[in-house]
Amino acid sequence: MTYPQYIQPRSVGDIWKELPQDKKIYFLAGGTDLFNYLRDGLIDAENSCFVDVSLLKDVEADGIVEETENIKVSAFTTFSAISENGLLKKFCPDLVAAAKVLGTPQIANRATIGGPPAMLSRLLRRILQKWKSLIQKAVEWLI
Amino acid sequence: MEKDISFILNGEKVSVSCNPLKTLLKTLREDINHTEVKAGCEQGECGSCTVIVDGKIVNSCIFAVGQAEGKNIVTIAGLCKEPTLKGGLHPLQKIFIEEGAVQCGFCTPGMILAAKVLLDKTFPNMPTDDEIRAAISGNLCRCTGYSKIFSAVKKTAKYLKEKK
Repeated sequence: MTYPQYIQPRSVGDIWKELPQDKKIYFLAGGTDLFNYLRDGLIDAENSCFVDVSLLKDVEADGIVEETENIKVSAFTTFSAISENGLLKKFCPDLVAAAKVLGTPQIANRATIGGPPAMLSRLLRRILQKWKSLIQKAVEWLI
Repeated sequence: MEKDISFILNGEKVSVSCNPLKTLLKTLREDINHTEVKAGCEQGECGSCTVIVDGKIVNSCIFAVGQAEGKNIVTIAGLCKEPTLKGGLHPLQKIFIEEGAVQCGFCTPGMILAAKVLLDKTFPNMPTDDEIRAAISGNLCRCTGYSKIFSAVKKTAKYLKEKK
């Protein structure tokens, strides 16, 4: 099997130093989606680089913190951490309920809340790129 | 690109040299002969490849071995290594056998590890029926022997509570 390039930066500063310029970048945290995309051939392994951000220590990477008017849920927080958190159970029961039905316990222990938005934004960009000309025509027609 | 990766496997330090994006499942089975970890769907759906990483169950088929660096990993073979068992089977393993909670046996390693994490979490209290169902919800039994698996987990919880 061909694997993408893999880098494991230890700090946010290191990410930008180590990032290859000629490859497509995928950030790897829980990896629950990325591995399936890789196996299914949806990722061009030779021209991609997985940046493992799971070991970053110099950011508030993981946690649920109560602030004055908000509760901050960091991007690396797993869905199992969300479903077990007392603060969220009290103030955000819908988020807890959603996290509980997201997937199996094994998935919930790995999948991070930052993952779906990151994957979704990539997907949206791909759709927009693919349908760019069609969207442009539609817009021209409308105006 | 190979990398040296070290982790604790069933209480012993292990070092492997492989691509960090190889799955933990493949590394365990192919590089260090831990074939007790089963390869089922290999897409994070069936739970056959379940292992415990730092006290939590994960699907080793979608876990990069590079991320296992420094972690404490337990497979089904590591369950009987608990000092109190003196090399014997874990109560969960014994009761699964007694209850006949094994048909083809392919899901059993993952099923027992999922149950172990639940019992560690609820001990000394009994888990509720819903908690047992939720705990093993990520482990599919193709033989559909869920009733006996369910009763084996419940019986083990009762045994551990009484033993205490």
